[in-house]
Amino acid sequence: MLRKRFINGSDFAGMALLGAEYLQANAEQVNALNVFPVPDGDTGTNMNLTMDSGVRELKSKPSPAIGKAAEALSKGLLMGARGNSGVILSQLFRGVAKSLSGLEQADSVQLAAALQHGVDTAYKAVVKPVEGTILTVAKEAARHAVQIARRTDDAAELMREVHRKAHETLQRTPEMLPVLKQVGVVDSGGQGLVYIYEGFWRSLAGEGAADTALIAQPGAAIAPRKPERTSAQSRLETEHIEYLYDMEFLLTGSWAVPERRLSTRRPSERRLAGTAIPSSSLPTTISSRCMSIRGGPAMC
Amino acid sequence: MPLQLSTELGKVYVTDECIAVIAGSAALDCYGLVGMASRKQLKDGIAELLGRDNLSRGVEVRRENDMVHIDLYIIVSYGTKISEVAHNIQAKVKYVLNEVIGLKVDHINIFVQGVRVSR
Repeated sequence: MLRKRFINGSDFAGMALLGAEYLQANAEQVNALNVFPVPDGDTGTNMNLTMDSGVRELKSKPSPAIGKAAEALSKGLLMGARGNSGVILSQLFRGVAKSLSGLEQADSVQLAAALQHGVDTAYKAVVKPVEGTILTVAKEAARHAVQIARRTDDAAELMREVHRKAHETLQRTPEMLPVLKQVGVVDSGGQGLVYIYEGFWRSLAGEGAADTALIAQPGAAIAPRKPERTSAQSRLETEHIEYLYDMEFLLTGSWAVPERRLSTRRPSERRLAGTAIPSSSLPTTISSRCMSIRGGPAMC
Repeated sequence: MPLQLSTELGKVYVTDECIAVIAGSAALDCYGLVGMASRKQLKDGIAELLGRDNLSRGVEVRRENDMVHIDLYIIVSYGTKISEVAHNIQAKVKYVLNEVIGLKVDHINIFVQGVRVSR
């Protein structure tokens, strides 16, 4: 593997470009994981748009100095930040850029310090950091980077370790954030960051440096890790639904039940639930599950 | 006037204070928000003296012609995209209120009262 002791502005641009490409290639999968803070399935799209804005700014202001390149990326991310994960991403790289400011090139120690400074900056912009999210993934990865930087002077090796640690932390996010465990997914924003880091180290290791590198080999290295394509929002377990009052059974047969009788049953079903929140105001996640119950065997 | 939920067994009332607390704590989950700006100095001052958590600080619940409006007075962190932070808070507060008490909020107005610059 190519050893890389110093990273300059164009290396950094290559990293950002490939990171953005990995993210883009997997944006749909990241979307499907999105359950927190609002399960609207747009984390991947938001992060991708944010990263895209950063990379565009970087391309428009190419610089051989890493400090200038990081500043351009940071500015683009800030201007194009979308969604919570996008804003967090912009803060992470704002810290990175501040730390690298004024440098022509960075060695692995400086790179690790920049990642750590990014995390410190990101944690300052929130009252109550929620663990088990992109913040935790970034934090653990940066802490690991600082340790690794003492042992190796190869930036590619460092970045690969950062990616490995980020991926490992991502697998533990369901233990930290209950809503993730309930649905059985890892954090979407964290997953997005893991893809960005993957692009970073592969770029440094010389595995693809330009826009075309990924598109040329579809489904190879960039295949989503999870084969299933169903969205997390539809995977809430039915047995965890506390109030079962929105269940409906459709009767089929030779005799018909008058519409009126069917409708009179509903208030009693609601009473069972001991609450009076109208069924129309159920969160969409639960209603969508009930749709599948309705679609079940036609019996009563 | 509290929010009413009717059941066959009786009614459930959720006060505006309660709605404000839910909205306030939902907002605190959002990235980029570093604090709430108090609108009622006296009330919040007393709560602070008593050492109470004051999650409804900077939150006002208003009703106009059957419409529910929530005003949030916030302080954001310098260096974040303020419009996006505000938008994230609106989405989160709307989602949580609907999820927790089935309240459909018509408008969530965000007033950025301050920007905190850290060092």
